[in-house]
Amino acid sequence: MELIVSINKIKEINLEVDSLVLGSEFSVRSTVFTLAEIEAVKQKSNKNIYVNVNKIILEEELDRLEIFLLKLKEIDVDGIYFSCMSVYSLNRQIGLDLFYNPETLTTNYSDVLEYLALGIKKVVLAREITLESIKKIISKTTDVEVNIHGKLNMFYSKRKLLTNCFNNFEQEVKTKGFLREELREEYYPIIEDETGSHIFHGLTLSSYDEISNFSEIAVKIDGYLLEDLATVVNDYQRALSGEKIERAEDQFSGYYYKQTKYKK
Amino acid sequence: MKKTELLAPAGSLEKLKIAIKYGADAVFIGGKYFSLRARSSNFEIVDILAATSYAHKYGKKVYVTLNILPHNDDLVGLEKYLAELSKANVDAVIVASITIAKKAIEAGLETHLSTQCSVTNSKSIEFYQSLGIQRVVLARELNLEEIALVNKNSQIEVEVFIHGGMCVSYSGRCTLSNYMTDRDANRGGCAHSCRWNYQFKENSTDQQSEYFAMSSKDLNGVVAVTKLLDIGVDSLKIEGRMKSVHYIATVVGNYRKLIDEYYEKGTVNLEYYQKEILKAENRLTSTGFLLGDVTDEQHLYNMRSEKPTQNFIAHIKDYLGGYAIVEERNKFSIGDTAEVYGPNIHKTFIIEEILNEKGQSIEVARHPKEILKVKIPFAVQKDDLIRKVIYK
Ligand code: SF4
Repeated sequence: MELIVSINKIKEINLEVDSLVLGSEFSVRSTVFTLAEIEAVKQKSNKNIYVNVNKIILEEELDRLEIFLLKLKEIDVDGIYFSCMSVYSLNRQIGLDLFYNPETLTTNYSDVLEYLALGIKKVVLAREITLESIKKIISKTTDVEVNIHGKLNMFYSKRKLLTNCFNNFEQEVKTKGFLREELREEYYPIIEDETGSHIFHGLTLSSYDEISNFSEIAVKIDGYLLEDLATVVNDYQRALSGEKIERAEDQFSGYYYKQTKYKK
Repeated sequence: MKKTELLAPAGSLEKLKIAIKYGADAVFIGGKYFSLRARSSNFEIVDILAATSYAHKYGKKVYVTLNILPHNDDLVGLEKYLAELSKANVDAVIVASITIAKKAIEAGLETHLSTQCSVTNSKSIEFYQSLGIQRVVLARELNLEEIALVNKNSQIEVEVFIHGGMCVSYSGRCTLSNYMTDRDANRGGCAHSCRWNYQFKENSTDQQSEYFAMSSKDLNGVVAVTKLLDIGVDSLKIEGRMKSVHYIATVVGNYRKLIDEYYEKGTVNLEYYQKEILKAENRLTSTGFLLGDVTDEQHLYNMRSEKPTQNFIAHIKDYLGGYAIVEERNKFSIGDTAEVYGPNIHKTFIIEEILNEKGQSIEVARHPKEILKVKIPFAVQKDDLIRKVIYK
């Protein structure tokens, strides 16, 4: 098993994991690190250093993206996560290790195998499928990654929903907070930034019991919006050594045991 | 120069015929399998065959959507289904999954990439082109300038949305419905959770009490059409497989006339077309991303936008001896001013005589679906529509 964590602060590079993920100027929903910071981390750490390049890219950004990818190659990072296929096309000449993470799109083993056949090194599975489905995919290939822990994004819009909404109400604009649906009790975190608006599930996904199914693949703790990553990593280390860790009250099991309905 | 295609939706064979009569160059329909929009009437293979036979008779095309994001067990029967579509002479399929794309290409079908893959640049297109995909539907989040750039650099066909409903999120990137109702938005089950009412709370003690809905107004791209024709995109798509005959006829018919007029004269009266299209619109509309960044103008917030359109009063089935045989849709009376709207006609008259099935003269028509005769002082054709003219 490869244990990966995406971090928010430089000092988190000392966490006890195999690999670190850093956000970049071409990422969404992850803390941004500058190229200089990425380079420094790569030099200092002997862990695998991965970079998030998972933004949806506009035509006018392609040149800048290419230069950025070349820099990452120079720094010799160990792989990048991407969702926009332009990264794949540009990388043909560059040769970084690619991890495909389109979030909601990778829901079956057949698609996963197709992407791997194209030379992509690893595919991150959608979080909307069951544990059974994940196991079935793992039985076909181990070049996959599962998000085992973190805030689950359930809505991504390019629109500035909060700015527009507060302008409409003629109130002061806030870009970070929670949404509460009329008939429900939960609070869904919402964040608006330059890339658009992001809504997350109110509870945090955790996988203390389920992690034992993932011994042959890569698993990731998505640190975005989480505070104390050291404790989270420690909990999984304990879970891996056989200790029983209970799911906390503000955590849930995502789609592991939940079949969504097809059609009506 | 190649003419830009006008692509229309059809939820049934009847609507497909209307779309073609009113000027669509191509129509897209949902098959029974592997397709989103589960609730819009889905075509069986025999219906698809009927659709392609009808369309091809007029030199028009039929595309079939296979745009779900399949889970492991959802791919069973795919090859057989694709072979059947190929045999039914379908002109193209619209897909989101790479497996479905590859199998469709292997089956010899022209394959278009769905907007769910959020294609926003030509380097992404290059990738899909290398798989053998022949057309991409661009993400709805692009403005005209961005569309022009992508189109210029793309070596395969580019399709752009111009009219109809749209997700407030990036297509395919919203699972609100999955989480809140266990219904999978990416397999056709979306519960429209974005239209529900939400409060914004800065923290758990925030007293904010106002509610808002997040959903977007429907897209209306009339103002952008001539620019898109100049850019030379390959296809303009109208969305709405669940919309009525009146909506399809009105929206498709007016875009057809607008496009033809622009090609012919190089200029058009957009205001006229805006007004005409509004006659069938029952939700508020906006220009979406086409003209640049989206502001609060493009959202619905508290405004419940549905307002049933009452002005569509009858669907003409035939014309005999000065009388139109019609199917009633909304109430109308002797003395009402009405207009006949059709692919080749747009004329006003005053309703002077209405006869029921027994041939008796009546004052008011008030039973939807009732077959009536209405006296009209000029010749009309099957599938022309009658609207009440409402003076404001
Ligand atoms: S909830 Fe709204 S934004 Fe989300 S998939 Fe459904 S219609 Fe689209």
